[in-house]
Amino acid sequence: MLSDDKKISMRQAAFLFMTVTFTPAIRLIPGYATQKARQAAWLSPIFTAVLMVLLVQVWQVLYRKYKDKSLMDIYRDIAGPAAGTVILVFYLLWYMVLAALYIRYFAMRLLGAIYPNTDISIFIISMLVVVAYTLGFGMVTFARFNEVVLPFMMFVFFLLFIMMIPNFRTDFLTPVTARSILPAFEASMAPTGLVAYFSFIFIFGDRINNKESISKIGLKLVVFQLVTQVMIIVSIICTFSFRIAQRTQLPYLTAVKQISVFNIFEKVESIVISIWVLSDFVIICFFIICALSVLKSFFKLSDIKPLINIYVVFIYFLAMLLAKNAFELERLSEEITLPVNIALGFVIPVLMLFIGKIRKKV
Amino acid sequence: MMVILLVAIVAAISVFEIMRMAKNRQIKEIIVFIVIAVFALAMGIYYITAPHDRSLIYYAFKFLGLDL
Repeated sequence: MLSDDKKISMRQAAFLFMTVTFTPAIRLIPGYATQKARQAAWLSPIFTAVLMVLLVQVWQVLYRKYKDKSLMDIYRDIAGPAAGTVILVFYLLWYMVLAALYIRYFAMRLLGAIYPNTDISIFIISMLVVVAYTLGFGMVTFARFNEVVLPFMMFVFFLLFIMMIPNFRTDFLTPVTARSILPAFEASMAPTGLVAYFSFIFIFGDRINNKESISKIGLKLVVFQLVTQVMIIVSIICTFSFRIAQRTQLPYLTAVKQISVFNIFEKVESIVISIWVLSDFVIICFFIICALSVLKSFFKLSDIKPLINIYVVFIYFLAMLLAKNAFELERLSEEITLPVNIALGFVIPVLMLFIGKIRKKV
Repeated sequence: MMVILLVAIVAAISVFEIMRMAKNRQIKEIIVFIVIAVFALAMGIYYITAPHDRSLIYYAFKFLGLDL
C-alpha cells in the first residue's frame, strides 16, 4: 500500500531484497556450501532460515518504536551520535566496496561465460551509464522496475529447475547423517552472509511505508529464501555431485548447459545470463542508493540526485582498482565479504536492540 | 590522453551539476560533490598511470595478514 508517491511499500522493499540476494546466491552458495558440507550442503539454508526469523523480529521490534526513521537515525539514537556515526562510516565504506565488487562480478561473469578476450571496461561503462540514468528517476521508479524484473527472474528460475529434473540423481544428496549437522552449519555462513542484506533495506527505512508488516512479509521472505537456496544447491549437486560443484567456477551455469528437452530445447544458458544481467543491475543500483542515502544522512543533504553521476565515476575506478582477476574476487567474497555482511547485517542490529533495551530506548 | 579524457568528463559533470545545485542554493551538496569528484579524479589518475599495479584486495589481505 502506497500512501506517499516518494515512498515505497514494504512489499516493494522485500522484492528488492529478493532480487539483491538472488544472483549472489547462485554464484556464491553452491561452491562455498559444498566445500564445507559436501553432499549435505543443501541443509545449510535451514540454519540461515532460523537466523533470518530472528533478524526479522529484531527489525520489527525496532520499528515499533522508530516508525518513520532510517537505519542511520535508529543507530544514532540508540548508540549516541558519536558511536552511531562511527558505525555508519563502516556501513558507508562497505556499500562502496559492495557496489564495486558486484560491478566487477557482473563484468567478469560476462567475460567468463560468453565474451572472452573483451575489454572489461566496455561492460562496466555500459552498465554504469544505465545505472546513472535509472537512478535519476528516483527510488520509487527503481522499486517499480524491480517489481517487473523479479517475477520474470523467478519464472525463469523455476522453469529451469523443472527442465533440470530429468538430469537429477537424487542419490548425490545422500548420505546425510548426524555428523553432517556441524559442516552444514559451517556452510550456512554463505547463505547467512547474503540474507544479512535484509538489514540493508532499512537504510531507506524512512522511505518505506507500512513497516508494521515487517514480521508478516519477513516470514514470507524466510520461506522464499529457504526454498530458492535449497533449490539452487540441490539442482547443482543432483546434476554433478558435490565434487564437481566444489571445483567449478560457475556451477549453476554449467548445470543449466546440461539441459536438453527432447533434444529440441537446448543451449538455454543465454537465458541465465540475461537474468543475471538484470539482477546485477538491480544490485548495483541498490548499493549505490544505500551509499548515497548514508551520505545524505551524514551531511543532512536535501537531495542525492546531483551526486549520482560523479559517484558513478568514482565507483567505476573503485571497481577497476578493486581486483585484478576472478580469483581475487572469490577470495574477497569468502574471506571478508561474508563475515563483514554478517557483522553489519546481523550482529550490529541485534546489538542495537540490546543496547536500546538497556537504555530503555526500544 | 586518457587522463585528459578523465579530467574532461569530471569537469563536464561538475559544471553541469554544480550549476544546477548553485541555482537551488544547495551549498552542502556542492561541497560533498567536490569531495567525491576529487576522490574520483585521484583514483582515476592513479588507475590510468599505474594500471598494472597491485589491486586493493591485495593490500586489504596484506593489511589483515591473510594469504591471497
